Amino acid sequence: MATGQIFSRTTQALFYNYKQLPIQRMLDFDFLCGRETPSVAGIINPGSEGFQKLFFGQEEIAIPVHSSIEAASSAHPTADVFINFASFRSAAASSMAALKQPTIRVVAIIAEGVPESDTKQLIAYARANNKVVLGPATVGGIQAGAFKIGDTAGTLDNIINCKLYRPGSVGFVSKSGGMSNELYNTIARVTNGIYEGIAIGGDVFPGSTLSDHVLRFNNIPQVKLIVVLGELGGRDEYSLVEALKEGKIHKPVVAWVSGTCARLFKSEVQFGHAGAKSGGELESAQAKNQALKEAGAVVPTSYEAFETAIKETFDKLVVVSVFDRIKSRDNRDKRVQLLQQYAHNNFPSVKYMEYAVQVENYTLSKANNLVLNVDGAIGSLFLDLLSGSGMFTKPEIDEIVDIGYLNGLFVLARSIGLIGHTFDQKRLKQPLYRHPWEDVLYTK
Amino acid sequence: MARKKIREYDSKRLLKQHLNKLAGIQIDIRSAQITESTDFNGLVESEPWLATEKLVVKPDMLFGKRGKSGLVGLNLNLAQVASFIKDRLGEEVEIGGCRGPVTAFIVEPFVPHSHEFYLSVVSNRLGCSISFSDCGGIEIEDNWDKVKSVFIPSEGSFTPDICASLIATLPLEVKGKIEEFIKAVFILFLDLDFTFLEMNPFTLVDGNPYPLDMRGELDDTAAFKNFKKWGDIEFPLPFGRVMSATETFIHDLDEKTSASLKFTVLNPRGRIWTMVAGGGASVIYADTVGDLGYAAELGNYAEYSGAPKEDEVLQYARVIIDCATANPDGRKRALLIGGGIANFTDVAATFNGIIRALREKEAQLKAARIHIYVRRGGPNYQTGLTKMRQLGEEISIPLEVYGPETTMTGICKQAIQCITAAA
Repeated sequence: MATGQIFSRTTQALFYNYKQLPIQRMLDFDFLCGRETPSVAGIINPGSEGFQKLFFGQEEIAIPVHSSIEAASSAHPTADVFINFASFRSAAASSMAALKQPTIRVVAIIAEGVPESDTKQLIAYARANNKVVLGPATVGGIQAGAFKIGDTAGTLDNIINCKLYRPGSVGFVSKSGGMSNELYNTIARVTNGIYEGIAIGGDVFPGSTLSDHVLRFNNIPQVKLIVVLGELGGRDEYSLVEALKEGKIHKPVVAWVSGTCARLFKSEVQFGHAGAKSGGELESAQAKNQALKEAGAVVPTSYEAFETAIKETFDKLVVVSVFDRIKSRDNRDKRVQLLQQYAHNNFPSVKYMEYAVQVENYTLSKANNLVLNVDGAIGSLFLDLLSGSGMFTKPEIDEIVDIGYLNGLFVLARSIGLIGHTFDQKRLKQPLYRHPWEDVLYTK
Repeated sequence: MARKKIREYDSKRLLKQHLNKLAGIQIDIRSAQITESTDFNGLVESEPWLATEKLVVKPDMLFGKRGKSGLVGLNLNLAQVASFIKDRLGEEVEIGGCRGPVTAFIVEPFVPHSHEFYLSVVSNRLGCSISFSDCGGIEIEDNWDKVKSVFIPSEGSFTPDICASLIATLPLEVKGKIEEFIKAVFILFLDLDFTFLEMNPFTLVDGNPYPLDMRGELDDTAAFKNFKKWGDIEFPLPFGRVMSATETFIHDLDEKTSASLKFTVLNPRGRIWTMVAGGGASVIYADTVGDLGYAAELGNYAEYSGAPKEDEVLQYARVIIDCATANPDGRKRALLIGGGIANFTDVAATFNGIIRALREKEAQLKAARIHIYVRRGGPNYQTGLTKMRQLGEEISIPLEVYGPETTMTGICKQAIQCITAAA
């Protein structure tokens, strides 16, 4: 595993075992994100062929239906994700067939109750052939603004709420599919949102593990913060502990392992997820939380404090990565310094600039970052030019200032930015105009 | 996949039956199971060796260290076995901090032996580990350095070379038989979807391997392809887990539906009760009440998921409400109807069943001074939450409703405040 991103805005999937609702939800998400192509290229429904009509925005589209995995793969060679909605009885066989297609890179298995021995065969094959298995027993995953698997993240209003239509900076991985959606919401509340979210599924041996995805997030430049929600049972969290200890993860990790309540049960207990079984001390939530904390992850004292821990860790990142670029007494704007130096050497008089510097000395005594910015420097130097050049009378200068010529300079500078912004929006296919949702969206 | 322990009796039954089928190895295992419902005379008729041989009897309750705990009867005749069982059947014992009654025994011929070997197979993520030692028996943990282990990757096979390293130190005269046996056991392990198997010890009877003690765990999700091979298999509850009538009712309900319905009473006199949607979320609600310092007040663990039908939710909710409202003591109680933000479950639909149950049990809820806290999100949650609010007003029960705008476990704190507030 490891390496980085597994989805993009052009990722297309083959969908095994036709289910109208999850496919329509994928297409609605695509449209919301402004994808040009629908994320489902083809459907495989054993024994049937033809088309299924679905909505891509307002437009009705026909998605081809194939009777076999092989036929679908050769008809859609660019589709590299296989979304398997087969029942637990047949999920393993169809997943193996999909993994064997050279065009398929990622297989997501939704079914719960796939036998352990079958999953182990899938894991072995995927490892040997550099492929990724998500699940079994998972809802899937999502790359915000790019691609989502099946029912992940639920309805459109939830996707809008959690800002999943555009990328944020958080990589999130959990066992539980239900909790993944909860955490998308939590993370959107206290950070700039999800970049990618994966639910690995609740089985004893998931196709890919928590640490597999954390290591992958570590390689994705857009992911700045990693959030992990583990669970009692199994040893998966310890491979994350090892990776942290070995210094393989360079981004902050906020983690919580649920299941601290297991000690309240008198006998061994099996919770809702197959993998969530109380066993030895090492597999307890308490031991795993402790180990993660010792390895350097941010671990709250309870789930209730998880949100605050995510917020605080993210806020620290923002302070480090954004605000230190804002100028301060010890970190002056180079442009201001160069302008001032030039004026000192070449202008006949710099009295307005000196006045501005006095003001700056005063403001700096109030706050470290209230420095003279480039607009202030240009403004004061323009006044020095007007008065020092000897070409304008005092009334003329006053008139120029009153009319707001100087503001014209600043508007000019910003208009370049505005034009650039408009072009950039168009280049990213994100037009500024947004028509009311209810008019354009097919929702259910 | 869910790993389930099976009784020693079933482990040996599967071993005997399938070792013959898969590898042509015949083991003369004879064993009988005795529970409360066993007809002793009938059993002796079908297993006549019981009357003629010297016997061993021990509890078959998924716990180990029976010899060390003095729970094994050795070299007894049938009458002695009967009185051994009579003295202990239904009696509570404590094993590893877990108390519970002994309800099943296994009886076998007494096999005098000099050699004790150890064998185990464990399923791991990337393959299986096989461990073997010629110093098996109850002191195995002290002799763990003498146990040799090999790893067979999922994509690999158990080659003679790998096997040779396990049995290198064995005397030549037993090596062949034991090698053949280990290989056959591994084939059986894979074929029957075992996830764990241990024989401690097995010995040699007339030169042939024979397990004296055996533990097994099956992957119950493989039942759909193995039900014929497994035959009449039982997945007993973990030792010490005794289900109350209400728990049994939900357990039976759970067995009959494709959805998941879980219910465990932790403290019948607890004052915080939960009914939570989702495998992940349900654990977190119980955690949070505990992590906030009120584990002692937590009445139960409950989880429903996988889109149960309205009628199933109704039956489920009735049971939880009955438990939560039992024996009113004048003090306030809290019921948490919680859940995360569903991906695809229709929240309004699942709430219908809960609302029906709450309406039915109005008087009970009031008598027990229950305050209800609801938190849920997901498809159609607005409708579900509105219906809940309306219900609260209609039957005038204190009921607070929250959606995805609040944290999931915020209502745990409120429940704690509710039960700790004066009067």
